[in-house]
Amino acid sequence: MTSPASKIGTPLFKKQFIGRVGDGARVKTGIVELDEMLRGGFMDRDAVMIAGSAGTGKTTLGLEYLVNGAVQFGEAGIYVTFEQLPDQIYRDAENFGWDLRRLETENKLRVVCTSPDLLLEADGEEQLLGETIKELQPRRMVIDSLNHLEMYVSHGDLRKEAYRILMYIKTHGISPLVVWEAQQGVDSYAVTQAGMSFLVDCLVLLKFVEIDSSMKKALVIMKMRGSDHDKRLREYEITPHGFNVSEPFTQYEGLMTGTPHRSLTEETANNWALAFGKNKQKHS
Amino acid sequence: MGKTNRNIPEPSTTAHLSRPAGAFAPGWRPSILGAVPLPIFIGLIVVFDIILPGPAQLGSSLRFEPAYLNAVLYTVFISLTSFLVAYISLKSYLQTGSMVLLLLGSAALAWGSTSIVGTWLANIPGELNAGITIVNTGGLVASIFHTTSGSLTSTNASPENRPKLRKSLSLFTYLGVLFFVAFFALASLESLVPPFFVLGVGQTPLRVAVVGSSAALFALSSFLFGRLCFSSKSKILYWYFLALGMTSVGLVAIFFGRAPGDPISWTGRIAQFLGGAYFLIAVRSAVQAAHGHS
Repeated sequence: MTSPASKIGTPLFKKQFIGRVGDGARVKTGIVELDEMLRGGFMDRDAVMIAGSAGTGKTTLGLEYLVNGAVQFGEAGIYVTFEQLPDQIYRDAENFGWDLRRLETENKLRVVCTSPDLLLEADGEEQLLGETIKELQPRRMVIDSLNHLEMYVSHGDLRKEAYRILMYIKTHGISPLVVWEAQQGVDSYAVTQAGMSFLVDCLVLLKFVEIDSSMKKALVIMKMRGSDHDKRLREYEITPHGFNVSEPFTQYEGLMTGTPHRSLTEETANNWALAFGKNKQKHS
Repeated sequence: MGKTNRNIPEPSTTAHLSRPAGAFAPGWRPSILGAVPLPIFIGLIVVFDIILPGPAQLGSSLRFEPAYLNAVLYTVFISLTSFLVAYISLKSYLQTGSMVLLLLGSAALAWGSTSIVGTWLANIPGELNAGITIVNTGGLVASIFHTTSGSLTSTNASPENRPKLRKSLSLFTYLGVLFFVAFFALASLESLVPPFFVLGVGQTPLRVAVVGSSAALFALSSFLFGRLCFSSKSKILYWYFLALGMTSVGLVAIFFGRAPGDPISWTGRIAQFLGGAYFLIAVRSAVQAAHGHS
């Protein structure tokens, strides 16, 4: 197994990184509102983590990032999955109107369905992805998900292995996006506990929030190294066309701590609205 | 450049928010004490009208009009409370998109801003007419907005704007009201508006028409919100209904006044100030309900 440290300082590392830091290039997600939150997109070649519990749409966001990259920006991408079979992925993507097979035919995308242990072998990443990278010259890669590595390495080694894989991807000029499934109730805590948040340059957290007895989805950019970003928690939906990020939850406080409530002013305004309106429970 | 964030908060994935706080108190009874001043002020106006001599015979001892006092009282009791109502109505409108709330806010903004501009302007020598014109016209605009708002609420026909429209529409409306006040103030100062008050003569028929319409519309809106208040048992609406009623009574007093600063004019002013205090109590009721649920 190649140690992470052994690659830092190599000619490839220097070639890829020197002169690139701070050049301000952005990798757009193609989701307009999310790109606005990111002040134009992810920083070029930053390792991005999409963390969230099951059902929050991590895979959908990862796929949309690749599809938009290929279709809107002409940037090829690789989708590495440890959990789904290709047919399932193609089928799910079709539901959003994304024709992954066509993108593969056009050499704009590759779906790599593999086992984590292959990636963890010595030089595994090169054997698994080297040819595809040479052939496709991708700018984007999604790994879905890093949790699967946990099944093959000890907790202590997980961070080291993840770092090695991310560095491999970055040194090939690719912007990696990794998916991390956090346990219900302790999502970002789990990310930080595993030391994963330190590994990545940008952390996007997807979470459920219960508001007015309905379950809503919220997205927040927890960190983004070297760039300003929107710090507000925004509502999002997964529509038949993919991610739709909408307005921030400006009326609420305490969403992240698990005790959401309206601020006193918003609650007062709500009471005012209730008094003067006959549609008493109708609120946006 | 951003720093590495190693201290990310530790949220839980799910959270719970209780049902929005309601302003409806089951078993709540309207405050009789709050309603008592309404007939008292009407009675006072009637009594003063009977006992006071005509304008020509009214001695200076029956007039009390120190400089700036009226302006200060209007600013405190009418403008500031109206601005508070305008603010809370704006926040409510942004939440719900209900046009009723935007109209309420616009009414309060018009009433508050014309009151502050007009009463201070009236203290400038030679600008008494301009000041009166602005205050009375603002009253008419506010009463029209209130009546429209009350009508929409009563008929349950309040249109609701989409979230994306709300900010721009509220900005446009509020700025429109303020622009109108500024424009009307300048027009009054330049004598481009027909006079409302002539020194030595008294109020003109135009003022009578404007104030009369305002008083009638304030009374109508008070009735509309009052009806809604008693069907919904809302404390907020109750105080709002009384505030509009007191404002209407205050405006009616203008018809009977002999001269600025006479007992009838002060009765009318105090009724309006009490109306302002009632607006404040309406807002306080909303805040109290919020405290109970937040």
